This record gives sequence, structure tokens and C-alpha cells, in this order.
Amino acid sequence: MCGGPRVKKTIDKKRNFSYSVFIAFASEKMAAPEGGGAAYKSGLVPSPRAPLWARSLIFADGDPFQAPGRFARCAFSRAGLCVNNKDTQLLFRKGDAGTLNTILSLQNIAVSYDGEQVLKGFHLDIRDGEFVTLLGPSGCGKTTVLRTIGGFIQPDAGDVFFYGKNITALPPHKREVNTIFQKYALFPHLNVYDNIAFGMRIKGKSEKDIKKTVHEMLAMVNLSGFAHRGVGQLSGGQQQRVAIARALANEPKVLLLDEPLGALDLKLRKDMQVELKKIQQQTGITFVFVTHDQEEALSMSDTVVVMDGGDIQQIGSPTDIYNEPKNAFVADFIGESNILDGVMLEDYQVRFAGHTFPCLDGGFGKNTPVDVVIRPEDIDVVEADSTHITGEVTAVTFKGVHYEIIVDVAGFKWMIQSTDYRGVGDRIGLVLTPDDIHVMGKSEYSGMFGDYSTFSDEMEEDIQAGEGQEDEDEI
Amino acid sequence: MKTKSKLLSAPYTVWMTIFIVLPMLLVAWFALTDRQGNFTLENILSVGQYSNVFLRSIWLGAVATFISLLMGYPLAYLISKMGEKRQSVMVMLVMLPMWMNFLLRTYAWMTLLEDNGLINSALRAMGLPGVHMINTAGAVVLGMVYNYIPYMILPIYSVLTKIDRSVIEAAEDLGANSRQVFLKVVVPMSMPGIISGVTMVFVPAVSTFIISKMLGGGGNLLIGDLIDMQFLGSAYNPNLGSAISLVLMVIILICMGIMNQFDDGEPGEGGVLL
Repeated sequence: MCGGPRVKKTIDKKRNFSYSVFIAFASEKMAAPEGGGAAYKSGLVPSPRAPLWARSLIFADGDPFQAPGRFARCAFSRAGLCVNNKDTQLLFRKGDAGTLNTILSLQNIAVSYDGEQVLKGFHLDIRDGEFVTLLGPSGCGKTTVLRTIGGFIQPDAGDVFFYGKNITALPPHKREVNTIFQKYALFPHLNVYDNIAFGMRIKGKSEKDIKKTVHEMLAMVNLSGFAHRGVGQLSGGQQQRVAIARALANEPKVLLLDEPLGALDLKLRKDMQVELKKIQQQTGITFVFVTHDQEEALSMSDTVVVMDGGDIQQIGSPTDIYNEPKNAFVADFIGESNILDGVMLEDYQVRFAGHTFPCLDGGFGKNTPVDVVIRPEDIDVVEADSTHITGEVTAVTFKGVHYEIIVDVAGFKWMIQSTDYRGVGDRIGLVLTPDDIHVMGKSEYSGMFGDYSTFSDEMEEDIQAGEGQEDEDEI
Repeated sequence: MKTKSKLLSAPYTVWMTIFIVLPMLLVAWFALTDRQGNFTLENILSVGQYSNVFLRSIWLGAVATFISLLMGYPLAYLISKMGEKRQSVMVMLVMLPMWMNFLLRTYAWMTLLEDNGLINSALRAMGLPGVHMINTAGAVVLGMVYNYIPYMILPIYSVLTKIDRSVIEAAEDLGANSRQVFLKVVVPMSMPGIISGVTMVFVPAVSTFIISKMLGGGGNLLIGDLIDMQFLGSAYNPNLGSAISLVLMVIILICMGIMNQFDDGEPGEGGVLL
């Protein structure tokens, strides 16, 4: 029954250093003391409302196994819990943390619909307490991955592990994960209170506990006072929060979110992004978030998994994904990129656009063909005669924060984002520093992206609108 | 715009006034007057002596409705789970008997259930004792279920197909096993269909006279037969017949009112507003 020790990570913004919260499930004998909610609210300790109560100890990041006592006692005295040294000693055996760090592991997953292979040999490990985003265009298999974790899809091959236990054959209702569906999927015949109470009633909790939890959840999603509304009377954003509260009330170890913000308008979506991130940090629950919105992925996640064609193109932190894309697909999908054909002459020397540039990348070998990525915002615009890359401005679009300038340099159209205005027909020079140049190995995506000669805003919007449509049909 | 839509509804408004509202007023008029046209409550009061007929009608109607629900719900549920092509075939099969004349269908049951009918002949051929079936309350209920069960299946089916798959998944996700999903989500969400099915079976079953006449014999007189006798039969008394009709109408309204209490909340799609 015991889940064993687990590591959670939270960041205390006030103190400006991060610490790990170390939880170990106590045995059934230990009852949950009252007052656990205080620590939970302070953001130090994940919710102690677990079937088996969790003891939490906190220590400074970096050297977790030294002197946990002070931080632990600090956190526990805030929570009003008492800890004795024997318990703390017991929990801090080295090695436990490493082996139990991975909460979910997908191994060699294959899924096909009507003979069409969606996933094949798919691998993914998700660490406990992480905010992981599966990002990719529609049809890339991201929703399929989520549904496989939730148990709604039985993979043709491969295994799903949860805390090292194989749960591949386990039906959805027996999995300790909860899902927030694209269209919320609230129960229309129940009011807000009963929707949130649904999972707890199934588990046979007492109405007293249910009432307490429902009100806690409503407070967390800022819907106090809405308990007895019908769900049909709520706006999209409110329904969305009820869906979050309903899932969290079930105390999932992992929360799956299937494009939950897709149906909301831009302003509301931004607010919900912040709110979701806050909830994730407060509760320490592992979030697996699916989206095709790269901005959403970058701003919320600890780890971004970029997918296309059923394969993972790159896994990394948002900054890694943006600054060090692995191939042309990732570079193009995340943000805007100029992607040029180049040759790596030797380490730190790359030749493209008819010139040789110093760069920071190496290890490709001599005279290797590569893709070179240059982000539009990294390019400095100067007078035409003061640099060796020159071109003619063919289009300028005002974007509010900056101008988007398309420059024709010997037939290749570059995109530049600049706060200085340049008129169409102007000859300008482009300056690149080694820092601006990112070199990638050639891939199947080489040559498909990164030239702005066919680029138009209108087309991009059409494509995005189309994507939203298709996603609704996605199984 | 408003006048336009009013004009569009004019044909039905006229129709309804002439053929529904006026006749109902006439029924009320007849019920509250004697043969000379003087106001009297005698007709209404004398309905009381037929209370056993009323009770029998409501009892048999309720039993038939209950059996229809018990048999119809699982069928509707199964159909809603099938593939699209099979669904339309199944729905057609459910409606198929309705293409045949009502009287003919009931006659067919007579020949089946008679003491020397098909079923008893078959039983005797197998060396088993015959069973007396015709002219019993059971035969009447059978006739009602047979004739009205499509009206139970179809509204339930149409509500069930409209239930969003993701709501079912959400329930599973929250820990409900298939039995709990059915009882806590599917059944409550199909309540509007159940209500409208129950209404559409119970109302005609209570007021039927053909079925009881053909399959129930003289011993299973229903309200419908009683009213029939007052207008077309030997006991010619339109005033009393109208009074019985009026009381029946009130009773059905009360039954439906009670029934609708089960459907708390707004009437959803597929539901019949009463």
C-alpha cells in the first residue's frame, strides 16, 4: 500500500532559492493530523490529504542529504505537525530519491487507428512533480500519448509504468491519474458541487470530508460561492475551473490536460495559464499538458516534448528548445527561424550565405553539411555598406512590439524582427555575432522550413485556424 | 419579423382551435350538463362508481409502461452502442411493426393467444397442457407492451446517442467502474428520454379500448371501453362519457406531474414538455 518516498520540487519565490520537498508515505497507522492544509497553502508541502498521509521534509537544494532537520522542522511547525528525529532519519536514506524519481514511463508504445500507425516505439519518462508539455501540430500523436497514459487507449504494443509498476492493462478507473478534457466534459445533470464531489463519492468518502474538500477546491480555482450553480450556467472559463477542481479533488498523482485552454479567448487563456502554473506549483502534482500552442508550452512548462509524426523531435527545458533546437522542425515550430543550408568547415567555423562565420558550435566534423538557424530577433540591422550580408527589404509588417521585415538576400528571404523601421525597397545590411548562430545536423526536415519567400501572415492564420478545427476531431 | 412568424403559425393555430381546444371545451360542457342542457355535477359524481375500472386501467397501463421501460432501455442502450450502419438498421426494425395496421397487429395476437390458437396448438403438439391466455389481464398488458414499446425505445435511444463520449470517459477517469458509470451518469443523463418514453407509452395505454376489447374480453374493461360504450355502445350517454373523459384527463395530468418530478432540472433534448 505504501507509495514509498517521492521527491517534489517547488520554488519559493520570496526566498529566491529552490528546495526539494521530500515526501514519504507513512504507514496506515499514522493518521493525518489536522492543520495540514496550512503548509499546503503556504506552498511548502504538497497537499497532505492523501489516502495514506504523507510526511514532508524540506531541505535546501543542492545538498539534499545534509542537515534536513532545520528546514523540515520549520515547515512542519508551520503546518502544525510534530516530527521527531527518528522519522526524519528514516526518510533520508540515500538512493531512494533517484530510483523513484520517474513517476510515469512509456516504453516502446505502438498505437494505430484503423491500420494507421500513430505511435511506434514511443519512449517517454516523466519525472515526479514536473510540468511536462507535449507540443506538436495536430495529428502528431500527442493526444494519443495522453490517452494512453489515462488508459483510454490500449496500446498495440509496449508498456506504461507508474512508479515502476506496469499499468498497461489497468482500466482508466483504477489509475491514479485524472484528466482534464478538451471540452471539460462536466456532468450536465449535476451542479458544480456534485461535479467536484463525483470522484470522492465513488471512493465512498464521508459527506463531511467531501464538503470540506469541495470548498477547498472551489477556493483554489476562485469559484467560492458557485457550488450550487448548474454547470450550464457557467462561462467557458468557469467550466474549465470546475473541471480542474473536479480532477484535483480526486487527488491524482498525475494530472493529464488535453488542450484545456483551446476553447478560451486569448485574455482568459493567458490568465488560466498563470493560474494552472500556480496550482501546479502549489500542489506539486505532475502535470502532463497537451497543446499545439508553442507560446503556451514555453511559458508554462518545466519540460517541453516536441512531437511530430508520432516521434519525439526534442525534449528539453523551454529555453533549451528555443535556443538549441535539434532540427529544422523544432526550430520552425517553436518561434520564427531563418534556416539556411550551411557547411561546418571545422569546429566553431560555419559557412553559409556565401560567407564564413565564427560560431559557438562544434563536434560536427570537418566540411559537414548542416542547417543553420538564426532567430529573427537576434539579427542586427545596419547600413548596407558596413557588413557583408546585404539585401533589399521586400515587406514590412508592424507587429506592435517590433517590425517584421522580410529581406531578400541573394534569393533567400530572411525574416528580421527589429524595433527600427525600414521601408520596402531599402538596402540594408545584416550583422550576426557568433552567439546568434545555431548549428544543427541535417535531418529529414532539412530544406522544408525556414525560408520566408512564401510567407504571409494570412496563410499562417489559416493554417492555425485549420489546426484548431482538426484537433477537435482528433481521437 | 414577429408578424411573419405569427402568420406562419396561423394554420396550426386555427387547426388547434377548431379541432383541439373547441372539442375539449365541448367535452367539458357535456360533462357538466344533463341531456336537457342544464348544469349538473351528477355526471362527474357518478364517475365514482367506475373507480374499479379506473384503477384497473391505471394499474395495467403502469405495468405495461414498466415492462416497456425494462425491456426498452437495455435495447435502446445496446443500439446506441452499435456502429452507425447497424444503428439505423436496428431503429428501422424497431419501427417496422408500426408500418402495419394497429388493428391487424392486435388481431394477430388474438390468433396466437386463443385457446385453440397457434401457441396452444404448438404446446399440445408437444404433449404439454394448454394455457389459457386470451381474455386475461396479462394478454391486455402484452398487447400494450407490444404496440407501444417503440415509443419507449426511440426517445431513450435518441437521448443516449447524444451523450458526449468524453463525459463517460470523465466518469471512468474519476474512478467509476462500468456499473457506476451506467448508474451515475448514463441513466441520469437519459432521464429526459425516459420521461418522454414513459409518457408516450402510459398515456395511450391507459386510454386504449381496442387492445382490451380484443385481448381482454369482457372481464377486463378499461376506461377506454367505458367511454366507447357511452358514445357508440348500448349504454348511450354522451354526458357521462364526457365526464369520464374529463376525469381521465385530470388523472393523467396528475400522473405526468408526479413523473416529471423525477426529472429535476431543465428538460433536455428529446424530452417532451407536458
